[in-house]
Amino acid sequence: MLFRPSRRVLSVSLDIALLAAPVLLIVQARNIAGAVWLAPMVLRVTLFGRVLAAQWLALALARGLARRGGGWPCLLLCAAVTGLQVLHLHGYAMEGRLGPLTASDLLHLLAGAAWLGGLLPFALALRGLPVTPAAALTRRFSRLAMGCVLVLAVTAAYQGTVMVGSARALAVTDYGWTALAKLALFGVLLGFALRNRFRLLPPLGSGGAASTRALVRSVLTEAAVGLLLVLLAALLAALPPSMVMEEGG
Amino acid sequence: MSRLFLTIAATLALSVAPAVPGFAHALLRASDPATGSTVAGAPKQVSLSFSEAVEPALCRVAVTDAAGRAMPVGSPSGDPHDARRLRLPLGPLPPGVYTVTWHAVSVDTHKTEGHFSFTVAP
Repeated sequence: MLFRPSRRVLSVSLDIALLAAPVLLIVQARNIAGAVWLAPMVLRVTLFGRVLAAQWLALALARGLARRGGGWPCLLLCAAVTGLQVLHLHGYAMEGRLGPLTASDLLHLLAGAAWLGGLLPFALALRGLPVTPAAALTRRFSRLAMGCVLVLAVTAAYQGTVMVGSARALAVTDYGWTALAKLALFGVLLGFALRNRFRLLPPLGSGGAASTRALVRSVLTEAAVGLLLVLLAALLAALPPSMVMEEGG
Repeated sequence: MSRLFLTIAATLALSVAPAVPGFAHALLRASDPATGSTVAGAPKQVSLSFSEAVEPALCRVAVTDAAGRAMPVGSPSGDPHDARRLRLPLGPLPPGVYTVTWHAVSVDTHKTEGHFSFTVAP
């Protein structure tokens, strides 16, 4: 059974995603097919539409499970929705099949979702816990976060090499600048994660409730920075990759 | 243990980045007939190779002669072996200069357009 504040975050997140998908379909129908009323056709004949339909169905199933307290099937469905997102991204479009770039995108999305997606529920869980279990939870979350950071760093380095193309492209294209800004925010997040683990965690045992409050504040700030990073990731997904622009002249 | 992992599901759904429309991505890498080429005999089809996989149902390709008249063409279709390629069946083309105008939509939902010319030799 899911911790109650986390269950609320899960339910609200799924509700927003369930509502956002049809809105996205309508916006994209107007964008790529030229008219809102062509949305059913876009849903039926395009890869974008079919993948979005699969994501919506998985979200609806996850929402049903969330009402009964979540559980592993709910988590797996949410991970599937996140994983399917790779079929909307540059990597898959450039490869035209499931290749190394798509695999890297998949790992990057799942690691980012596990780390950044876990921050808010982590902070809410900390708030309701006595000091000892709060310290244990922080240690456990730190282990998960460090694993995710490693995956994110390796996959980002690979994607950066392929998508940005060259040091010059990094400096002169919007894609390169956005990638640099994302890297800077990643550094800030890493700083927060290290501060939480090595500066704010040790005094939990002796500092009592005040130490827990400081840690919760820090994790909430980290979550806000994480949201900014997700927005930058969305912008990167919309910008033409530098190497494509250089190739196109 | 399970609680920590289950709570991660909370914002997984929100981590799905929204697609933002409006930027061009699928660039034309090659074509057959090639840009500016002269071919002996009328080609049966035009083949377009893009830098990204495309949605054939949403792509439009037109062929016009030197006077700007639209030539008879079929519907663009995808290549089952390469999602980045688009094929357009052509009607009979008499000798002359032809312009191919294309509008493509990539599978990551971005639009791009362009044109090129080729010549059918007498």
